[in-house]
Amino acid sequence: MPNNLVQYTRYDIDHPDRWALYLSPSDEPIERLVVFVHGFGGKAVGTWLDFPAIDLGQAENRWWREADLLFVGYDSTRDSITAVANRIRTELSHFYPKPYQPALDVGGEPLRPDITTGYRELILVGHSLGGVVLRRALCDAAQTWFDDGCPTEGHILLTAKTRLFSPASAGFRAAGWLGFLRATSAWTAIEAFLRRSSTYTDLQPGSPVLDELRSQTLQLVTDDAGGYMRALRAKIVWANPDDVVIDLRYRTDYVDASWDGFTHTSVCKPRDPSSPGHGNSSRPVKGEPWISRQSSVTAPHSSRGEWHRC
Amino acid sequence: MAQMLEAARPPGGLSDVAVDLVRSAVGMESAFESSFTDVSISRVATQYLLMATEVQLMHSGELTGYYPEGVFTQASSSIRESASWPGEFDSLAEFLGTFDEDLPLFLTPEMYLGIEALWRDAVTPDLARCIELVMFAVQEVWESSIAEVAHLSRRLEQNPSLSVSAEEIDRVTWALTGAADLSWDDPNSIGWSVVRRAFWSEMYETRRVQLDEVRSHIIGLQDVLTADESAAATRSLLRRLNPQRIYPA
Repeated sequence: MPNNLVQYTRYDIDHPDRWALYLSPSDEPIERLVVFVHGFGGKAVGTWLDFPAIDLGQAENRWWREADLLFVGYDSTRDSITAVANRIRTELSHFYPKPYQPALDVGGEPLRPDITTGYRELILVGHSLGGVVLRRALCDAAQTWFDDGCPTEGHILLTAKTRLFSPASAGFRAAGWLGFLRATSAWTAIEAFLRRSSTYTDLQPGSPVLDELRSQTLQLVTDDAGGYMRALRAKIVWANPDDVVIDLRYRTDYVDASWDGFTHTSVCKPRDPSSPGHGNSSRPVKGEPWISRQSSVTAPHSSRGEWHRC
Repeated sequence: MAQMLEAARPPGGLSDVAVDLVRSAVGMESAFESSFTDVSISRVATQYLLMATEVQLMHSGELTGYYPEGVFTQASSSIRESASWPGEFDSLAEFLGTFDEDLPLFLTPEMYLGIEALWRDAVTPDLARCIELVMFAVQEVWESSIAEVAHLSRRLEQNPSLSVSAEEIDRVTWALTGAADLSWDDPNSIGWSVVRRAFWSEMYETRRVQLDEVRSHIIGLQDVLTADESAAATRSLLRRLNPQRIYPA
């Protein structure tokens, strides 16, 4: 069967386990790395289908053709929010800004003409619990930067744009077991319940972990006269209706959006919200996707992470 | 579904074909035989089964145009060169010889990356352990493993606020999320082809029924679970009086 599609090439990362790269074959410079972090009970790539299946040959998908995708997988019944956040914060430097070389050099043959030029843009995308994980990683990156005396080059996470789909920043809408059951499959919920995994406690509304994360983020952004904490301001889209998470953004986030006809699970799939009947549509996003839209605030630093001193 | 399984079953009443092939593939007929234990056999067999699906996936990708022509042949050649035991590849090739028959239906280039992603997501240690126990473990290991899950199920019924140690839950996750990730019934799933390759093992059907029974019991308890211990005690009592009653969460 002939394949006229232009598609990403998958590369499974040995370490960290469950991370996967999707690499654009474009002859043109690859501008950005998009990092996807799934939610409770989600899957590294399956949560986001069909982002990897976007036809990169279509003119309207140029933004994606100029992007590599990094899917962060983890075991949400075993791993804590802090553990996954720490993993992202410490491992991301292997993937950004310089592209991950083992994935691009296939038996001595480069996957595309330019495999060494660094990305110019980092975009973090989280769904549900993945949004909380990313906020935790961003706060710790900011704290590290301050602890290190505000060095010239900030942590790469702080150069990112943050885009969240129905984040669980304010916890599950229903308390206790029911909230868990609504958020994921029954088997994942039962397993997490039996082991009383940390996320079971941490995602309850008003949990100390969520409260601390919000107050730390608010303080970091509010005290940030120079705009260095811009990555901590998230652009959010909520599913409507969403009976899983409380749709409450931080007051330091950008004004959020809601997509009618999407559920908590389907909101992070690449459907076109402007198309008629989008709730049941299986069409990929056409044109520049929501996660690529520019924020209204200009970054105080260059896209490659060169920072002014604070 | 039962008819489909029956139609796919090899003629002649073959039993434990997968196990026999794998035993042969890993050199059990050779001088290396004495170095294998029952446990390591089942683990190796599981890895071969997963590898078979990986190679099938690669073959599917080639046929849909995702991989260039010839990549499957090249992969097969690499496997031959890396064979550790004399004669391994011949048996393995026979074992893996049903790739074309196992191709998912209606697989298009647009679908390929999605199917590959779902399969890679699904291949967790819990799923591998589930395959190992259901399809390849010796009976003694199977019986003790399923008994442990059944015991947990009974404890959960008696105490809807039950919590267990990480070590304890880790020993049974193969039957919870591990089994949930394996597509037992979807003939279009790559994961289902794993089942199909091994299901003619006589023990498979019996074990699957046992596993389904204990899983059904656990999933039937989801409406009574609560972390509140006093509510759990009440629900447990009411459930004994009226097992059909549905309780508010």
